[in-house]
Amino acid sequence: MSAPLIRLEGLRVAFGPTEAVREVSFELQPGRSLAIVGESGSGKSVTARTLVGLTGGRAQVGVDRYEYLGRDVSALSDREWRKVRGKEIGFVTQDALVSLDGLRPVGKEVGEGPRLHGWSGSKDELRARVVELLRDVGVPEPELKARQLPHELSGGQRQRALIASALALDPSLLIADEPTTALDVTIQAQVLELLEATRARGKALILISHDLAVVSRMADFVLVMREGEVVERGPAAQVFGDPQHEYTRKLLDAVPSAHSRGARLSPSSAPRLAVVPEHRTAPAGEGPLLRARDLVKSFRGPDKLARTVVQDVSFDLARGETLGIVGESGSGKSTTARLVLALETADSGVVELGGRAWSTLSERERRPRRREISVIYQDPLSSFDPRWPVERIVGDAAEDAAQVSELLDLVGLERSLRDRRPLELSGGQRQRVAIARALAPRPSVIVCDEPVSALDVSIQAQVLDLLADLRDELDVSLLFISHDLGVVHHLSDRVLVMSEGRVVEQGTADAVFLNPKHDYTQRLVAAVPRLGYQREQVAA
Amino acid sequence: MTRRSTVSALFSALLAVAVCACGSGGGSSTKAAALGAKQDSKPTTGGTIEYGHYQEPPCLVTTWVQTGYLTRQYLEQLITVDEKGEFLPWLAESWDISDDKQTYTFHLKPNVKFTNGEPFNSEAVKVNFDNWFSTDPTRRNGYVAFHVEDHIDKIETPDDLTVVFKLKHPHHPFLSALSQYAFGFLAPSVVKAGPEEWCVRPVGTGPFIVEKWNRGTNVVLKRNPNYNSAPGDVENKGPAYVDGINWKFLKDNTARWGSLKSGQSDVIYDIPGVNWAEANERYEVLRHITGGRPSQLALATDHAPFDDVKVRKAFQYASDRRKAVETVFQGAVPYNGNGALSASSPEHLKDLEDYYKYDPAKANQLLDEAGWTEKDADGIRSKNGKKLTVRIVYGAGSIISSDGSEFLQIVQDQAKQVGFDVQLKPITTADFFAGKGRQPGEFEIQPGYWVARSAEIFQVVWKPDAKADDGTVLPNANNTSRLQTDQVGIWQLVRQADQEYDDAKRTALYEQVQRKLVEEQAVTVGAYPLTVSLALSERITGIKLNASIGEPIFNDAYFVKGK
Amino acid sequence: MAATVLKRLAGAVLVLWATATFTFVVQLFMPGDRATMIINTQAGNLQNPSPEEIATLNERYGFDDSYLTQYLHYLGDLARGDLGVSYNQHQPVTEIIAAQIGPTIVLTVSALILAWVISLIITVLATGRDNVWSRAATGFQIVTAALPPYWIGTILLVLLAVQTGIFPVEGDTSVIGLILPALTLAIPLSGFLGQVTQDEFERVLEQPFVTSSRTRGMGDLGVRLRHVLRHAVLPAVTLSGWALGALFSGAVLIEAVFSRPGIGGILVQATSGRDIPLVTGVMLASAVMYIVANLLVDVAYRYVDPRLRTA
Repeated sequence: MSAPLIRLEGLRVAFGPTEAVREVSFELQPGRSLAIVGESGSGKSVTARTLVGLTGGRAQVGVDRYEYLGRDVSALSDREWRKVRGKEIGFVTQDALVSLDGLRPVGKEVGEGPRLHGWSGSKDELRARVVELLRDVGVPEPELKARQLPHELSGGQRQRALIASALALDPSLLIADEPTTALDVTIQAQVLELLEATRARGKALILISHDLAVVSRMADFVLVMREGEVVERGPAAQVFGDPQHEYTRKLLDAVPSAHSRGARLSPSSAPRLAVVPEHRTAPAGEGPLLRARDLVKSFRGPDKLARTVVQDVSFDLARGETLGIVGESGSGKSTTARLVLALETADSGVVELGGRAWSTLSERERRPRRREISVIYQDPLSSFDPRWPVERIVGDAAEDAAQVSELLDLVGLERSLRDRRPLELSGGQRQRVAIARALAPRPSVIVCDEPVSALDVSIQAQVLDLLADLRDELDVSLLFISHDLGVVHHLSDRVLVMSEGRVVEQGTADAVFLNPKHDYTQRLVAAVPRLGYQREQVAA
Repeated sequence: MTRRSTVSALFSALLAVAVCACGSGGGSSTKAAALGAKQDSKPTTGGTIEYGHYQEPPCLVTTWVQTGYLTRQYLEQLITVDEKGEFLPWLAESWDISDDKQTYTFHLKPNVKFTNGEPFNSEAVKVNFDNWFSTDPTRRNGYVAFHVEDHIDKIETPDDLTVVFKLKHPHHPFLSALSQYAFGFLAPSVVKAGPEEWCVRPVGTGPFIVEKWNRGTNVVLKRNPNYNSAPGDVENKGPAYVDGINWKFLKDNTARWGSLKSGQSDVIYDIPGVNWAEANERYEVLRHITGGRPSQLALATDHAPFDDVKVRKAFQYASDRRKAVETVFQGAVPYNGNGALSASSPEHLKDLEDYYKYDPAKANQLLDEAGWTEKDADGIRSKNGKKLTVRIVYGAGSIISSDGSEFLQIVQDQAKQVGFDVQLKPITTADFFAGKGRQPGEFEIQPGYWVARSAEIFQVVWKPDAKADDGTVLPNANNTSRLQTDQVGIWQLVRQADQEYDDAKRTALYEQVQRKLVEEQAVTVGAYPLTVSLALSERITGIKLNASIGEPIFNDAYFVKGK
Repeated sequence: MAATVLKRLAGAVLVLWATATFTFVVQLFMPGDRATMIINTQAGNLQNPSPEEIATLNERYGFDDSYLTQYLHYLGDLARGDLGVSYNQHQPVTEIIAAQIGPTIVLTVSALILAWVISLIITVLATGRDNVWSRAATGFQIVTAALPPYWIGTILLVLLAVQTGIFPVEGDTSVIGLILPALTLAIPLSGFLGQVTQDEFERVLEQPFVTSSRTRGMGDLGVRLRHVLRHAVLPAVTLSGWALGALFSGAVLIEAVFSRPGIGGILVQATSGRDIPLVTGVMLASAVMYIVANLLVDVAYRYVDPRLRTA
């Protein structure tokens, strides 16, 4: 075996009194790939940034040994690091959508590395090189895109451009920090392919991700981190197929999928509250609770052209049923939700609620009936008054203090947290508050718009369990919108697949996901990264 | 004191220290040396005087006293007056008064030309007087009209160099009026062209010519090389020694003072109070106390509570005005306790200065006698349930400066001690001139001054209200005390005095008027006179202030050699 | 594009019309008789003018007409570019303003430029760095942003002009005479712009694309200048239109302190003498300045933020 590309021993990072990374060590051979997985706060991103000397101004970094290509880089000055960054190590930063300077043409950003590291050619040659780089990573029309600003590129194109900028100087190592977060599933698949192809060209790869499925597909070797420590390490097959550490197992269990339907995602001693049929349908003799027919909605863009974002969408939602809507960004699923909530007025088509007119009412007539339908958003923070404590936020929608207390008990929010303000809560706690508030008016329908997309997998598991429990206990109907096929499959009875404003396929969750009929659904399902290694048993 | 004013007071003090810090050593020896050099030298010619004035007028010819300083440089009058009160020739070489005192004949200087070449003659005098008496307000000269319009029957011009004023009755102050700043003559063609012309391009016979008015910055004055009409109160009978004057408007006190200190100005007008002491130490300082009616508080006699003379007297006794003036002005402006007349007017009665010495006990006693016996928790008196409230309505920033406002606050505080509820009602310049708060019944006290040379001011400010033909009353707005003087025997004395040509008798009559106004009627509460001050650098000498209203005279000014 | 220009033009006309109408209405509700006020400010004396005098003026200025007639005449004159004749100065208002507005524009624009230079230097060098200089610079901005220009002007005047004689004390329209007044207006504004820019600068420093640039090997100063600054100036650019207006009013005071010619002195005289045509003229001139300033801000914004060009 040749000398390792990286040899890291005993990395420690602290921010003031907080230890963010403790004793992380690994080696990486040229051309191989290493994945660091963990939830937020696990220290994986800090570790990645420290590898290029960008831990941050106030951090104290200690390391027993850090060699790159056999050279001791443990005590480089910032000036020296600048020669390494971009040239010897390419780095794809988090948040692809905002990692390019929005005020500069994409080409300038991609060409920045070469320019900083002493580009010897002319400006025209650099421009040509940038186009070549963009073409290599699969950006269509690279000459045009190089001149455009980041917001004129799609999310996938931006991520490709970012990768191109990291590869511009042909480094031996590429570090990618959450390279597919916030990308649609089909785009995500393409980006992963690009990274895979890069590695195939002989680059070593360090992949940082919270997404176990993504990691399982890409990595030769895996580190699992929790609270700054590596809790498990090993070849991918071993870590995913036969996890040794309890935490690793918990993470794997928490991933929702077809297999997890009807089962708990988070470890809990509590039994399921009710035994429920596999697929709920409307009780005989009762009409649907929510009925949408032929909804059409278009918006006028900045170019003055009307774009239809929802086209002929119809569906029913029965009492106690969960209807999932899946689709990628721009598919019209959120607009559909707003039409159902009567926050937007449809160009045509109607929504009926509880067998009575709903979308056709005037706002004044509708207001007394607003209690019947409520909503949970991805980011509850923006819908909370930041100055109010939890009790007041929920109390605003509830009847009395007793109900507030009851609701907060129901969503499992500890009593000690009830006088805190939203910013003092974690993401999962906030989402519990949002659920409590949504339940307060005792609605018959709750619209959930990407309610778990911003949460870590274990927290997501808890919230999904909570939603399932509440649905079964309170007999409410859920309209559950998500881009995550696994989540939808886990929770929904029936599913609508939306693409470009239209419903392209609908049916029971298993029928749609296990046996997709429509081309688009097939592509979507195929693009979902799956844990590549089957474990012997699934926790029941 | 409000927080803001405390802060700004501290700030001013700080600045004063900063400005003074550099030159406190050897200040007086510098001054002595400079004055010595000045006295030894002979007049030199040439050079432009950098003169830092304060306010900029909206128009280069108005009857506002602030414009008078400027018009003196290019417009000239028939006669002038010196410190002794003697009238001296100017554009008139001499004059005769008929035995019946109703015909004043002026013999004009020959060969005087306006700076545009037009001749100065009797016709020019008549054109100007007609213009001043015009009913078109943009032409009318209110100051001139107040002083002489009532008395002139007609103006005759028997020949080019003779002007005859036929009066309706003898009027002794006629000469005194003519010697004042508002009687300067414009070239007839300019009069004809109207204010559009004279406001920016006034043409007179004076020692200087208006070359250019850079609005907001300065008026450039050039020497009149053909000048031959010098007044009797200057030495230099020919053209001015200096080439010109750069008459700059330096509105900010710090800037104006700094301009003198840094040598950018040779002379500045209106020495800021905080720099008064330093100015006297380092520079030649000229000061003129203006005559006429001083800044005084007129008590409105036409309604309660000042319709009762006891209350008026009580108010006079209620505050230590002498101390207040000393405190506020720090010596830059003297106390003027006789509210009827400025101390610099020849007829001024000195013994009235302290007629109403600060005496709260007496004030209390008088108010008790007048029936204002009830007192509330704050010590404010009332009578029959009506509070003893008096409103002081004043033009803030125009008639009353910021120092003046401080004086009023002291009076307010002290009057409160004896039970007056004094309310200060400052009014902006524009509103004040538009008549806001000044109508009869809208004020109990109105502070004000009227610049003049002497007692001729009585017939302006104490004239009773007139009645129009249809019986409506035309109130005399200048009579702010609203005292109808014809009903208390004062107006008769004023008319008698104005027609009395025997100096001793006339003075006695004017003294009687003062005694009646102050001792008997107690309608005017004395405060301080309008004061003009100039500070001169060591480079310049020969500047003097006119005896009438103190406008600077540059005919004799010249630069000291070697400075 | 033509539609945008037309819309802008209509907006500008609307602002001018509103300004003109506002001043017209305000003067109607001023206390006191207009003719009396004109006569008294003219005379510099208090007097109760005779009915003849008042009648003469009422006829000359049309004060006796109905308000509607007066208003229509007034708008008609404005439309012809005739701002009337000043009551107190007896000169055409357009001439008075034309002669005075130059120095004010020069002063305000140089103050704005100076404020930008000062605040940018401090921001780029001090923001997000934890050392004595950065704290001192931030402190300087907080203090200066709150200082009244009048004080700054007086202090600069005493220290740099009166005491040392480096700068002229009084009204000098030369470049050297411009420095102190422009600095006086620029210092508090630079504090204000600096605070806004620094907040944004700090925020942008944390943005992913900044880290992204660092991973390509960009140094700290490079990141600040090439990436962060451009984003961070956007709020301050937006505020500059407002700032120019504030400078315009600040110039009123400062012109007096430094005895500079300019629109400030005119405005003070005009308002204290209630010279309605002149006040209206100055207000309209300010409105034009405001419109132009905001137009320039738009152009600047588009230059700094190319996203707006393509949108």
